[in-house]
Amino acid sequence: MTPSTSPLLRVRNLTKRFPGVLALNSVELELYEGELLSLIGENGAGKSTLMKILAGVQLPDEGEVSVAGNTVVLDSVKIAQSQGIALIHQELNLSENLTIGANIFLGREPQRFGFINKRTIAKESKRFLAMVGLSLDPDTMTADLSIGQQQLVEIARALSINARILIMDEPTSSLSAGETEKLFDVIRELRAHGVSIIYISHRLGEVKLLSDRVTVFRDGENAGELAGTDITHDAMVKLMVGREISQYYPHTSRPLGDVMLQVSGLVTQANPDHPLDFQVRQGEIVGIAGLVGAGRTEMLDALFGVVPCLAGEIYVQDQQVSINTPKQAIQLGIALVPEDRKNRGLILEMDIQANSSLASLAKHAHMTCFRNVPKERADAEEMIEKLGTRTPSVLQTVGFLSGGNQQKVVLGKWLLTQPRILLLDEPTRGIDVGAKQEIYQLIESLAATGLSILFVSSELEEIIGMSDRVLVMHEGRITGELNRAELSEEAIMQLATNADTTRAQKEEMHVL
Amino acid sequence: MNKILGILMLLVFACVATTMLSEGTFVSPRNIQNIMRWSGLFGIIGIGVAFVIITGGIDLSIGSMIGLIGCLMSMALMDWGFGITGTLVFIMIISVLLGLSHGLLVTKAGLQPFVVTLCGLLIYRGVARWITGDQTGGFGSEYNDSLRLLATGKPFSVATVLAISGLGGACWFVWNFWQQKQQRRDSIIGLVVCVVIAVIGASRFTNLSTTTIIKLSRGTTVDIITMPNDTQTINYRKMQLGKALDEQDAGKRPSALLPEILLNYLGYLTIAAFTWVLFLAVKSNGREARKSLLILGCAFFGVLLSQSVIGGKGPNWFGQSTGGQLWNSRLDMLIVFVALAALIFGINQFIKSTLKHNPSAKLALLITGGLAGCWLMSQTPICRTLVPAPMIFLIVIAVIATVFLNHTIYGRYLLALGNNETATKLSGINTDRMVILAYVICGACTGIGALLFALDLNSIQPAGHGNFYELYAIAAAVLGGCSLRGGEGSIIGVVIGAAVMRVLYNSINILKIPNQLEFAIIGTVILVGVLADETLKRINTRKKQLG
Ligand SMILES: Nc1ncnc2c1ncn2[C@@H]1O[C@H](COP(=O)(O)OP(=O)(O)OP(=O)(O)O)[C@@H](O)[C@H]1O
Ligand SMILES: [Mg+2]
Repeated sequence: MTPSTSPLLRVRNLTKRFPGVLALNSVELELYEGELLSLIGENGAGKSTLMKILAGVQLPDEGEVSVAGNTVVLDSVKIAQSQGIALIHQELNLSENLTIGANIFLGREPQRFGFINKRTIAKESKRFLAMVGLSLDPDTMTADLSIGQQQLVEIARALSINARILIMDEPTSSLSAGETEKLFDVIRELRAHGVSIIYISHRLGEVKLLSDRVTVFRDGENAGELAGTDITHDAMVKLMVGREISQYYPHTSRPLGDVMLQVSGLVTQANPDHPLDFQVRQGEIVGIAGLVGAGRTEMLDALFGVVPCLAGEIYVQDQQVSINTPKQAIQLGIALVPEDRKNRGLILEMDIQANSSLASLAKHAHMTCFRNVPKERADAEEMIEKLGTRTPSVLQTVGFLSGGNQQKVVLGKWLLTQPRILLLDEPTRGIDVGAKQEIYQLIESLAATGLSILFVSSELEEIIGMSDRVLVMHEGRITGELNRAELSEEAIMQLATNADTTRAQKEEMHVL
Repeated sequence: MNKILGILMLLVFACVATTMLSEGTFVSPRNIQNIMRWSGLFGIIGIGVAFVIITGGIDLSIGSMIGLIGCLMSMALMDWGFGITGTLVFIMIISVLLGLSHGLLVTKAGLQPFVVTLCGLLIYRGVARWITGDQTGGFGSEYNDSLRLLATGKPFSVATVLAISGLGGACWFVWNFWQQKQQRRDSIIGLVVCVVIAVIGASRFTNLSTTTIIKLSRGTTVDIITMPNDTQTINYRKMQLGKALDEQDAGKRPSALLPEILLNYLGYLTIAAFTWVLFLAVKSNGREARKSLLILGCAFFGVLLSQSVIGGKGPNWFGQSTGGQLWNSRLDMLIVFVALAALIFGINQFIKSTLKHNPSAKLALLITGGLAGCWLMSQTPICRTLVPAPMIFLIVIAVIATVFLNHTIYGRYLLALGNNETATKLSGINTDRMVILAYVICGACTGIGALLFALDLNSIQPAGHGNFYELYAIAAAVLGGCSLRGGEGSIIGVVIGAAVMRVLYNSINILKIPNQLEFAIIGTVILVGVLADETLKRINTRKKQLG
């Protein structure tokens, strides 16, 4: 699609400052009718900030925005919506205590005689849910949905305002492959109907697949633009990071030690029928693949003492242990980097130093109760250094960091507990390519020093790139185990989706 | 930090306004003592409830608990013969147990704090009335010179307290410097401030001759010889300084006036400091600085003007009859309030515009503010005043609580779980235990408060003793910057909050505002305070966003 007409949306010389941070420095952006423009850049490059400005959530310091040739002042969400701009936030933004329908129409409830018209809500919600391929009852409580489903509800909400310009800030970061496919269909359909889309993602594969054009930001400035066939992985990386990244997955074959963690017959509340068995050796990276909702998070939670184990035994270094609380797990040298960083990983109101030190505070305390402030600070600074977190200081409030940098803070917090067993739940979610590779390298080097790593990810590519061994889960059970040599996307997908045939195959094999 | 500064300004505003309107009653040693005593009592229970509020909870049972414990105490001492030590141990155990039960019900039984403590409110009051059969309790006059001194005693003067705390602070900063906990520059500044405070306080104990002190006081605004309409002055002239000082002053030494004189000299330095600020402000942004300076100047002039119009000299538009005088005094009040509010607005504006263009002016501004505070203090006999025991309890408890909240891991855990309980739990912290701890702390503080209230009043009516005190405590905490959503709060803020409440209450009495309005006025002030805080926050973010 070559743009010939004047742009639908045009951003000129836009600048935005935060205390200590120049988030956007005189950036430009153009979006044409019916186009899918991808916006990429490292963590903290200013992508979300620009989108929040377009959606009327924040106000720019300088610069102007014009929609269809008219300069507009987007100083509230309502005004942005009236211009047909809708934003799906990077972080989920649904009220968990409302139903799906109520969330979709929040603030715009259709009324009848002054009362909320529940019938219309239900009917309309169903329609929009169908558009994103969800066949859920609009009266379901949002809290009961998986993160992936919530994400789709958010999209349905954006659709419901009849947006001309739809902004999606990392919409696929918490979706499974299947849901992602579904979303892409929705996106293509919308585009065919003339909706212009700004798409932000750190998954360059998706960007390449979908985009008509790609705009790259670096450090809050325009770093370049690609269109059509110029959109290649390497070209994008080079513009984003400013250098080429060689050897993306630093996998080496390490000698594996003794069995570090052994789980047998583990049963959790969510999946009472399928006991889990597996083991992880010292220095081994075990990937756990599966669709969203396959029970991977639940399993890690059980290992970390967040949810109770109903039955089964856990051995750490051949010692049987019982893990009922996260505290016990941490004492055993287990660390969990949770998937939902906003609610489970971070205290957004506190600064980086406080967050980084929270899990290891007791370890360094003077006289078991006084905080060791210099140590806290040194630790936090060390992790910022090690993980390349972008922040003006260790005393920056975590809520003000960009999504990817928040993730790095969580990771740092858990590394500071010096774990023996590291449970990573989608550790690279929302992290840019450069930092991702740094994290891969970190994981690899941690494994080389003898850490056992359980690594949940929905990105098949990274599972394949990083793991020594992969466990595939489907509906709460482990449906297969693949060695490094057997790894391929097809093999994993088959185990992850087509469990029954696989089991049938297995049984056949037993018979033979 | 900003919140604390805001509430501090409110306190200064209330004090200055009342002083201007009350012709000396407000700043008489007796009145200051009174305010300190009540601030101490309410500050203690305010700190207790602050811990619970920080976890996102609330304690509504404090007032009833104070009633119940007061009754139990009088019975234990007078009827059951527990003896002094036995009684103290007994009520502390009871109050900790009550706090513990609240904590257990909230965490282990999963009940809402509001509900649990509401039931507590009803239950304790009922029990108190039942065990006493609604008989008023007390301790007679038997304990006036022993146990009751815990609440009614006045062991030190303010100057002594300043000396001790200055010394303590100095040690702390030396240690900090040693350990390199903060920037060395900050430690040194802190050290200097503490030493100055300690010296001012300690000057009370020097043995200078009366003549020297009178000489020193010349040329300051506390000039002893020319002190207007003060019976003390006459006595000074007679060189009977011993008796002339505040009647409760046990020390009876002329040097008791020295801290005031020193403060006054320090106060003069305000001019130098302000010049420094002006220099910084004009250097970084001349035009805006001039503008905000103009506002400030006008406001200051307005205050001076209002000072000269009010009182007997003021407009007499409503005649001399009783009703007319009432309205005249109301008019005075209005004038003073408006003038002071304008001044505070001007100061605020000036600080903001200066900081915006020259963030490094912060230190200069702080020093100016501190010196101005010194001057204000030197205009009152506060340094000569004796500190009532509850205030001393409050200071000790506040120091311990601050250290606990800001320097121990448990304080950090409390703040963390108030913000995000799940994430805190996932960090390996036993959040239930921390919540229980908060309720136990609250129980213990309430226990100490109850003890002092009972001893102070010496007449405990089971049905009324402590009524509404939980609301004062919660109000102090909220005014002091605790968010009822949890995760936010500072001890010093709560202490200042409690002081604001008491000053307001006192002003209402002194200014002869109808007593019935008490609750309404305090409620309005809190509402306006919280609203202003919230609005300013919003305007600021908006301005920041607009650039
Ligand atoms: N409210 C805020 N206060 C202070 N700084 C902020 C605020 N919001 C964003 N920033 C800073 O602005 C910069 C840009 O942030 P932004 O969220 O736009 O990055 P991003 O490109 O979306 O990154 P990511 O890929 O990690 O989501 C970051 O350095 C961030 O720390
Ligand atoms: Mg972002």
